[in-house]
Amino acid sequence: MPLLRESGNEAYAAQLAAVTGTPYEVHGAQTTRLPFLAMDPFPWSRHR
Amino acid sequence: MSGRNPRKFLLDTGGTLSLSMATAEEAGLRAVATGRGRAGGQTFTMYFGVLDSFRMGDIELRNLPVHWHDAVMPSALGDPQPSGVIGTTIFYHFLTTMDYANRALILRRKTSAKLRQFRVEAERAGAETLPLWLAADHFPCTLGSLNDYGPRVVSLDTGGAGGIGVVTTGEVAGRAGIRVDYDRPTSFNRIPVHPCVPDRASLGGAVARDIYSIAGPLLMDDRFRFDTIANFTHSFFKPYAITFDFADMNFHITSSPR
Repeated sequence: MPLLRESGNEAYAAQLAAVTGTPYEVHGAQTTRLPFLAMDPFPWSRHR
Repeated sequence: MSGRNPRKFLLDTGGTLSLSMATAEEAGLRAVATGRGRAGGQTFTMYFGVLDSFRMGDIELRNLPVHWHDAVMPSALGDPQPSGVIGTTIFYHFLTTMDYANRALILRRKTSAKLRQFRVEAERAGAETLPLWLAADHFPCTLGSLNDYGPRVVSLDTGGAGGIGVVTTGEVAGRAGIRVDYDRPTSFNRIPVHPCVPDRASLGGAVARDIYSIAGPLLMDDRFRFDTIANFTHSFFKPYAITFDFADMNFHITSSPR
């Protein structure tokens, strides 16, 4: 975090400082498989 | 998230873990910092916080950094916006396979046993093993070629929507002998680009012939601080299963679906 602060990335440093417990702690199965529900999402555009 | 019903997320190795504003609100997330972000030709405010629990199938991650924003994400025509993006900052906690050919994401724990088992399966399937590097925090890179130019370093940001297989620059296209169609300017993420169709684009023995590609100022070399010749993306991977081994830093690609 000091390194992030020194490099001017204050927001990321504050975010990591707010993590409690073991970061990215993995629980559950050894392997999991999730289906792709769609392969070709529309490009980045939407009328707003 | 945090015990709620499953939602639809995009998978993008050029991304981290991000949520839509609505999803973050619903999860009761609190921002500890804000910043400005850029993606998909948009600039937006990013809110940074911490998620207690994120479940993907039968695996759960706890205590993880997350950000959310009001940028527009790609979605299928007529579909609502996805709830967010699952990207490399999640994937690198696992032996991650994006099996495009069989339309599935497979996450395995990074244990010695799982790695050994995967290597046996990969060898049996005739997988090509290439080096894997991470650049700028979360962009996977490996070695690839355009026609006979290469192998050289390429990035593997899978999130290129719009039917493209490869992103390169006009200069690299020239070196690789790829004709760029300067008579048909188009845009990608609001950046002017031109279509091109390399005869061959390859990652090891995985070769795409005549794949629709674009040339323009889109590569991340300034941010990476090294040169790449291309980004290989969504359409290139469709016939394959790709696996990121972030323990031994290998990238596997196979056209023989497991």
